[in-house]
Amino acid sequence: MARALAAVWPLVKGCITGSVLGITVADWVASVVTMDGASMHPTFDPQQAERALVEKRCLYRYDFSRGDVVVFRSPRDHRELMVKRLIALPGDWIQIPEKQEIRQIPEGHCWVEGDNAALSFDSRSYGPVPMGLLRGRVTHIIWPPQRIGRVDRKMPEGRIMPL
Amino acid sequence: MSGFVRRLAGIPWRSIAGEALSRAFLVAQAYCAVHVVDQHLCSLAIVRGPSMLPAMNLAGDVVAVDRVSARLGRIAPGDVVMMISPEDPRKSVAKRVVGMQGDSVTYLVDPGNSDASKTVVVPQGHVWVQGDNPYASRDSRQFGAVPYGLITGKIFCREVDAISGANILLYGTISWDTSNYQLLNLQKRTVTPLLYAGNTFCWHILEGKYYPSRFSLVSRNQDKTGHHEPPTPG
Repeated sequence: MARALAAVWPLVKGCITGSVLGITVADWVASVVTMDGASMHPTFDPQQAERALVEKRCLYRYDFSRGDVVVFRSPRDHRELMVKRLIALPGDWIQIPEKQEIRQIPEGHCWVEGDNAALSFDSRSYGPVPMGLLRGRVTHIIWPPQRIGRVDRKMPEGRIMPL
Repeated sequence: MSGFVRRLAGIPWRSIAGEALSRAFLVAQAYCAVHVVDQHLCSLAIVRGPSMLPAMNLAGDVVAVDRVSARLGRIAPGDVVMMISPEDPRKSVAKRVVGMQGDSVTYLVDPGNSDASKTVVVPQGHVWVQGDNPYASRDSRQFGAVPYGLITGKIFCREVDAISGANILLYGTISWDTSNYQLLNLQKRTVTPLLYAGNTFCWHILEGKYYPSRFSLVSRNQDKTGHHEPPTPG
């Protein structure tokens, strides 16, 4: 019994060390997220289950730019992660064409929208999202191999008036 | 010259490098273990401010924050939670959960000045938080229901003696300021032997013997208060 334990112990120790290091890297450096849903077409293809690299260094000081693709916890369900494009930062004025209105983003919040406006459940439905929910910025697609590449910053024309 | 080169060649560089790397790896492992426990299991934090009086001290309280229950969704009305402020993502605040999603919350809009009250229904995925001291608290009455995802932990334990040497040992980097230092001078507290030992040790830290260089507070206070005597056990 003791011999079996002694044989297994290095493996267990290695697993614990590896998982602790992995969790720290996933929290501070970068992690991977799997795409699901058509709300970000054509940036992300809904047919293939794409995996994207999410960098976490932007969370140190919450320095995001307008047009970044961001990952955040859904305000409707904290267990779900959503991926949308960040359109406006705190203090900006944004024009919402569907409701014919112009809103100012309150401090500490941001406005997110999916690239595929028709199929996207985003800030046009649930309003500005607190920036504390943001969990990183998507920088590259890393799977499948034919889709490997950068995910660029893009802003829709004429929607916002920056502060 | 060649003697110097020979001495250089004689030093066991490879084994030194190997040992340095393994020590560095050990330090990295220790840091990662501390990070995982702090962010995902249990953490200690200092909360200060008037919004949670009388449950929490104005000058600062050390509290233990349970991260697991928040992640598993086991927060109920009545819990004090630590959450990221919806007004500034760089700040963390401690408030009490009053209503969960679907609950209907009635609150006084302006408790000091009028009896007007409002009733709201908490939307799905959100919680309604209020400070215990409604006269001096910025909470859901001002910024509305907050998404559950902003909650980082449940506060389940509070250090009874707020300013104690052991705490200052651990949290000198977080909450060091003039008021804490002056409170150490007061001998009004009855300190247990452990706390006294902690106090004396911290006293020496304050004197500058073991102090890291970035704390310039020591010299400022010595100008103001002059010669110090160690606190006597009460």
